[in-house]
Amino acid sequence: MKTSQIKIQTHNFRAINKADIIIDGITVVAGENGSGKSTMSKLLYYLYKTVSNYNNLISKDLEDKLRDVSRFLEIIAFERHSSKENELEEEQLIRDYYSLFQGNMLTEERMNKWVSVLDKVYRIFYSEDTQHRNIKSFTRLTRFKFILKDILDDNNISIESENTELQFQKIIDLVKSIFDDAFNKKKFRPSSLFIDELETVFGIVNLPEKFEVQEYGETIFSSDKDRLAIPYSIQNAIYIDTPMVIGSSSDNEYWEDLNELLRKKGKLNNSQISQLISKEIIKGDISIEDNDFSISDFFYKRADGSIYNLLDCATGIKSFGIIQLLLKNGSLTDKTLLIIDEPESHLHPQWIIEYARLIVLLNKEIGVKFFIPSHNPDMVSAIKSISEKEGILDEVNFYIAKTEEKEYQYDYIHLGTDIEPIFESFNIALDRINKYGI
Amino acid sequence: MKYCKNITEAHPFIMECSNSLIKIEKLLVNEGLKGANPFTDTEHLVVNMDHVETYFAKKEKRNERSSMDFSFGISSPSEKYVLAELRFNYKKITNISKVDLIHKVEGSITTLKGKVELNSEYLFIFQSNQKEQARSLFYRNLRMPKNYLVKDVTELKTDFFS
Repeated sequence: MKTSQIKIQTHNFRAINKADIIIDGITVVAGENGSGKSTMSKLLYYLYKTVSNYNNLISKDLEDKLRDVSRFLEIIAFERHSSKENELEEEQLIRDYYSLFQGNMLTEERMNKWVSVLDKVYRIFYSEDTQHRNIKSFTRLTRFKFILKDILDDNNISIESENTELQFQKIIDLVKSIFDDAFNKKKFRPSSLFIDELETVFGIVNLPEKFEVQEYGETIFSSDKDRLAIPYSIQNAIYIDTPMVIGSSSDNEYWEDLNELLRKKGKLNNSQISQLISKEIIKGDISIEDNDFSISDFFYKRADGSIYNLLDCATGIKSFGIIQLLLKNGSLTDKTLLIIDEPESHLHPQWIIEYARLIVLLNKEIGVKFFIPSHNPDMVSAIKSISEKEGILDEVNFYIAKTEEKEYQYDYIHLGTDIEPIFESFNIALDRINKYGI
Repeated sequence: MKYCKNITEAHPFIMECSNSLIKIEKLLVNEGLKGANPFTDTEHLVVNMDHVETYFAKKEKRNERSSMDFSFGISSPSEKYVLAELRFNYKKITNISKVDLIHKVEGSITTLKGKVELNSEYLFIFQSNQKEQARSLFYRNLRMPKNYLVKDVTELKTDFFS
């Protein structure tokens, strides 16, 4: 019996009653609106984003938690200019401040540096013997005290008096505990980081009754387990829910993630597939260049020499442009899970087929894995047909989401390579045309 | 619209080439039906239109026309013949040719013109695991006429032979 690369079990989560999904190569899911397809996309994206970038996320979390203390030190370093006699000391403090953000973020050495800088700041500004020459302004002192109190309040740390030394000691303890928490997370890989992500994304407290991901039979994540394992088959996940994302700003974290990735300046990889996009489909090339404000702009250079800002181009061009940019900057590898919600959106029928071909070739030639929710008969049919011709049909899995026992709750039925039930669902539209039309 | 044995077997045009009658159970198997045959152990006879075409082409001294696979009589709402085509052997359903199917319908209509009254809906019977894909292809991609109906053998039996 074949052991699948990735198996994902999701039970009782939003519209999903039961979804046991395999990702061996290309996984296509069909189902009516509201059946939980996008929920699945987001679950997968955030899981792999968390497990694959675990240390980066811990670092980011660490920086977020240190932000207020960092801002306090920045104010101290840059905003006091007390007197000429302290100039050298001030310059050293600025260097100390910058040194807090150098090197490996998750080390005891860095924690000790933070502690030592905080200690130094205290000694310079607040200890009895130096106060007279550094604190020239009573208002400044008041402001600093207020900031210290605010940081402690924000972290639910109460102190009996507003003793500055005690405040400083508490801040140092806080910094140490933030670092210790990060060290523990790095060491034990608790699943809470992923759970926190889910709660942020879905804005809910109720998480899936069951959510388990296995790689070659080994559990990577399970809602029953406390720790996250390290995945091998998928080491980065990319989520495209609309081609309109390119160059756009949004509160959506995954939009920002994708734009950051698109702006990545990797080594130029002009693969055959990238050339296929240029020559056979969009008749041009997508490029990225820094503008006067050092912000990267996306351009579409058409084969006839015309150059357009990609944001002003047809959405179909953007759809292929995103793939081409990801290819060029090396973001698509055999360890990539590319999640594309309804890739057929905004595409002319002939480009739907070209896009399906691209999906198949990216899987065949590079090994990119796909999770594709789709509503389109041509997309579904073309993925099957082209995969068969290219000899990768064994790695393709189709699913349909159906309500079985409970209304508004969907079970994901594994179809293997049989797309007939998907077409039965699509053909309800034909019945409606006959019902409402002539 | 239900199958009528008498009309199928007794029409003068059938009497003229009586060896054209064949059990539908057998015809379906001959044409490559896979999986369960809902007509197993039934006695329904239908007209093998290839035989009919060959017979009349010889009689009328002309080339054989493209034709539908089989035909059968119905008694209500009026006595008519239904034309049906079996499409069982598609490895790729997208290989369906609109022109070929229209030629088959037109060929059989021309052959039977003046001999029998034909039902205005033409049946195209697919393997059950391809019916919905064929339906999608017929109406979305090929824009086939609406009186070209896609069915599988189960529906054929339910709609006409039950």
